[in-house]
Amino acid sequence: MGIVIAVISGKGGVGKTTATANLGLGIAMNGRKCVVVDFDIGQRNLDMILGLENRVVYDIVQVMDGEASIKQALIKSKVNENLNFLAASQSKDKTVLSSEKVQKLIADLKNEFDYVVLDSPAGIESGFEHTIEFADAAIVVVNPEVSSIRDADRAIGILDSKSQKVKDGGEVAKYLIINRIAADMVQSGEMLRSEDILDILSIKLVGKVPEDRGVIDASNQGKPIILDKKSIAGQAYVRISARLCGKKVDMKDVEISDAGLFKKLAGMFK
Amino acid sequence: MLFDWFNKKKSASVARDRLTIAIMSDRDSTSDLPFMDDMKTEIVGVVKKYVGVRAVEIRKEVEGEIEALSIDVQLEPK
Repeated sequence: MGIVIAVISGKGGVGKTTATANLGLGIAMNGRKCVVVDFDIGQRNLDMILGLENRVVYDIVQVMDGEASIKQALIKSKVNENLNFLAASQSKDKTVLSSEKVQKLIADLKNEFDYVVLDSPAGIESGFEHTIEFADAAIVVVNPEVSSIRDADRAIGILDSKSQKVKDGGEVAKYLIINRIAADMVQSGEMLRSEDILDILSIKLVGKVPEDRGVIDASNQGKPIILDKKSIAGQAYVRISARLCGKKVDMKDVEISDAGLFKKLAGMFK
Repeated sequence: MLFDWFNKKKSASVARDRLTIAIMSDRDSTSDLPFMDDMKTEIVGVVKKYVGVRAVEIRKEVEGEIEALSIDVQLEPK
């Protein structure tokens, strides 16, 4: 029986889909069978980030409506055979989802995979609620920036009240990823520190991802950044994926960058 | 001039303070009222017996020690 992880953010544009793609691939690289599912109905994007957009034949709405089997709709990744992908529907809108259909789909996926990672739509509307309803855990992605953090708190509030696990008297595990950290700005006091963000949101940290221009280049090519061994964001996703697979990896302090240190030293001799 | 420069509050700490307050008030107004949906449905039921209802909105308002529920019932247009 697999574990279901919903990747959520509240605000859009913080790197949720990028995180989903990289964590899915990272989990697969740890030898676990993983499926990533795009729940952003009407705004299909995960296929592009994974470089699988040309291979989509059936989408999740067709699976839920019984027009295609899961087997027909699953797309195997070219880079890692443990990774599978289910696309969102592009033509329909998110009102087509219902709790019953989502529950059945997730139950079926749990039977086949060790990890089921759901990319939730931005916002806190019905599409978001369907993504979190049957999740065992949630990964909250934020940027170190006020609107992202405030919206994340709202999303966490809804997660706590609408999750089936909570309704059954249990608890949904919640893990925070702070994305796009600019070390030099944190050092100069112009960007929130991760300790402050954790204090405000009061959830557990699972990883910090530094700002990395290579992420755009990676999405241009449809090759998740985790494949680039030299990329600092890619390395962060390697560490986070290992943690999600139960490995103990020390938290790297990406808020003190080597580049920042070098600049400071250079500045001293000016 | 130099004095100003030393006293200038860094924007990250301004962000932290503003967020702490905003999130506290966000949480106050929504999260601890799990019965909200049920209450709305019942209020609509009662008012509907007498007049047409378009929407009901319930907010929790906190002022100092006093907590209040503010209930807005919007009627159907004539």
